[in-house]
Amino acid sequence: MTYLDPSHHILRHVGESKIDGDFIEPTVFRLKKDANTGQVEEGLSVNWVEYFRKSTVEEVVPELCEVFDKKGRKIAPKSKSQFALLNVADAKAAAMRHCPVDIIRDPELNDPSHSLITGYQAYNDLVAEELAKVVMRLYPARP
Amino acid sequence: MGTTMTYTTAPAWYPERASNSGYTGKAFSQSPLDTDKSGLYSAIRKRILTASAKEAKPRLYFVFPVFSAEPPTISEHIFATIKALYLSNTFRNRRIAQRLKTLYRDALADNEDIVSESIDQFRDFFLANPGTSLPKITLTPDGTLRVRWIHGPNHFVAIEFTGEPLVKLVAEIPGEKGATELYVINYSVQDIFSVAQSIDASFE
Repeated sequence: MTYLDPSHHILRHVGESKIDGDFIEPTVFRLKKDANTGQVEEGLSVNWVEYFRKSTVEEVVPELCEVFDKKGRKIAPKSKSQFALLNVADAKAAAMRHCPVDIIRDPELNDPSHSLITGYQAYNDLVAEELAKVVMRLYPARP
Repeated sequence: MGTTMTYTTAPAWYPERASNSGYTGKAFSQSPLDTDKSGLYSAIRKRILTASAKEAKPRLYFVFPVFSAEPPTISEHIFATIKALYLSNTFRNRRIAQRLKTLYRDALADNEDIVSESIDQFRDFFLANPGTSLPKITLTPDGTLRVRWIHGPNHFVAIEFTGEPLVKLVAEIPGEKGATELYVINYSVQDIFSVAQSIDASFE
């Protein structure tokens, strides 16, 4: 298991319907529950920014959109969805109010920067609220 | 069964529309009466024509197919909710209707589902509580509607319309010395005001 460096950053995709003006719906950081089994997913999918070795986040976003396309999660050219940027240390500290979480690498075949925030199944809503508070900035998926 | 209950007066083409929509009212054949000139038949014919003329007057009828075994689709649910909010004729509800329209368009663009029971709870809540202010309205990843009244940094109250018997109340309330309390409470929507009151949460 590889933990992300606390100084590094992660991006989480936020759909249009989760944004109302300057407000981001905190449930985008909530772990999904399987409707059939009732099982809560193991971790929240995020992408490790520093993996891309770019000088700005703006340069990372188009590459990440390509990754999403390859995974079948096509982001429409006119989509108003955004990517939320979080710092690893800030995210862990925010969640700590309720429980400790890990932010680990979880590379996938078409998505080598894929990572997970894990360990908060029992505090799902509470940690989701805290993570939403430490969003540093939003980046349009299709600027 | 379709539950859309929209009424209007019948337009000029009502008889044709009624027959197309499965209307099974009694049909009157005119041909035998047209040829018979006897007094009895004339009287019968007059009565029938009078009855027909009465039926042809404008009346209330269902615009949408009523006797349908198909459950309403999500778009019908959204449309009915938007219409109900607009017809309630308050500024806040019109804004909510507009937001719901945008939200539905965004959800369609992202291939997201909206839970129909959540839409019903959402509509009923706002129609029954005109005193609450306009909240932020979003869709959760589970397809349920969520509303949030933000009063300041780390001070809000939110309701997630789960579409189940209990809705989810989430609130963060400032306490003493800058500390805050974060609450996640599942409760029936009818009692949500008293629960909110008990933790000093406000929907205004």
